[in-house]
Amino acid sequence: MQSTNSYTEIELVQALQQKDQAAFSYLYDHYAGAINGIIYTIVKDDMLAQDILQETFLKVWNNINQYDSGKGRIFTWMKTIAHNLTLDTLKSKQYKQQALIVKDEIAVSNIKDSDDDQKRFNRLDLKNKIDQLDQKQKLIIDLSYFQGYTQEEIAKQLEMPVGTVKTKIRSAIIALRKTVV
Amino acid sequence: MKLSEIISSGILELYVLGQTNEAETQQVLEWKALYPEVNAEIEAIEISLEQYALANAKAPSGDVKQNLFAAIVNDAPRVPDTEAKLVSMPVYTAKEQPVKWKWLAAASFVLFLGTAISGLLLYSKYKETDKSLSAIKQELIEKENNRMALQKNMDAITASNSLPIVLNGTENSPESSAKIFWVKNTGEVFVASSGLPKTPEGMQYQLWAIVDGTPVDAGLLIEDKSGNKYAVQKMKSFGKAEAFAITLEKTGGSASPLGKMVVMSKT
Repeated sequence: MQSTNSYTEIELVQALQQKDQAAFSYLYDHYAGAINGIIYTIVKDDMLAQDILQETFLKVWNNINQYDSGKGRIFTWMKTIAHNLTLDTLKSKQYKQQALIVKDEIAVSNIKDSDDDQKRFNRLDLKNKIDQLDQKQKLIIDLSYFQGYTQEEIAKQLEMPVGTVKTKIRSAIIALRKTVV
Repeated sequence: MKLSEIISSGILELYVLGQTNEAETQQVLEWKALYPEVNAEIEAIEISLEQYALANAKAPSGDVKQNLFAAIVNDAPRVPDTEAKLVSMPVYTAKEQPVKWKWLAAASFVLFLGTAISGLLLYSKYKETDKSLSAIKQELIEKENNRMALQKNMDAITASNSLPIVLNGTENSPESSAKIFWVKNTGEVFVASSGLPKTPEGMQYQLWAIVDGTPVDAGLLIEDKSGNKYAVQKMKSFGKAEAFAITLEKTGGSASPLGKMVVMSKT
């Protein structure tokens, strides 16, 4: 079910709201990896990350009519859903029990990259650019965007005053914007 | 707050990161709707972070998409937030019910009649069947008795102790012949008389055992109404006998042989 159509953001959202499965397939092909990467950064477990990923996309499909493009891009919305589901999972009792068992197995990762070469090349190129970012800036983006840390948590982690976190985040994102645009 | 201040404050970044509180979020949404520059700035932040996420993508296994589409495949296009339809169930009014009862009563009476009639028919049929069954049973008992008698005769003939004795035609009737089966240990005597000529009217064949030189009555050969003799007939028993002979006597037989001798065994 590899999607061949290309959509603008508005077309994509409209098609999804019509419950168009081809559009959903396109959405998945484009963003599943990125969302999975974010989830994995937090849970550090392939299987668990994929479970949450699946749940995330199901929620996206079922609640697409609640998405408000006035508030932001669809990816930002999806990422928020993924984040909330991930944090809920980590908080759940079931996970805490399971985590004790799988702790040692986490190191073994099983990456099945189904992406096409061009996409992988583009990503590699982007990754190279991002790697040029200042380590501290990268860390701030990782903590705030991937891990969903609050300003207070970041301040604690990086041993800086809470008041400066906001400016640090802004300058990190400005640096990121320069590399990716 | 001036536009440049809004942009440089860092609140738009926090908004995209989902780190603004409710009041801040409302404020940002107001600015976003009001200023295209704010809108563009937010979108630029979103896109840069999106690119960052894409750069750190981790491809999931194909199973996830497969499961996902298996889960949504029956999810047909639909209007969002449709309310559940209320479907009214039929309600029986008081007026309708007696009519229904009448029909029910009539139907059950017809059903009762039908059952009663078919019951009677079945009973008479049963009686008939029972009668013919009894007759057949009786017939079967008779046949079984006959069969057992024949079986007994057959056993006598085929038993290892059974001694076959040939009775040859005498000068009076050279073409005649008969056979005796003499069971030595029990003394039972059986005669197979199919080789004898048809019995003349008013006459009857009689078997004699010669014991110590004297003929002793061994019984009359019985015939059915059509004049057919039994293939094998059980006669009187003898512990010892020198010979056997059959004479043609008047119906009912004689105490000692009076008629002419038809067949006789070798002594």
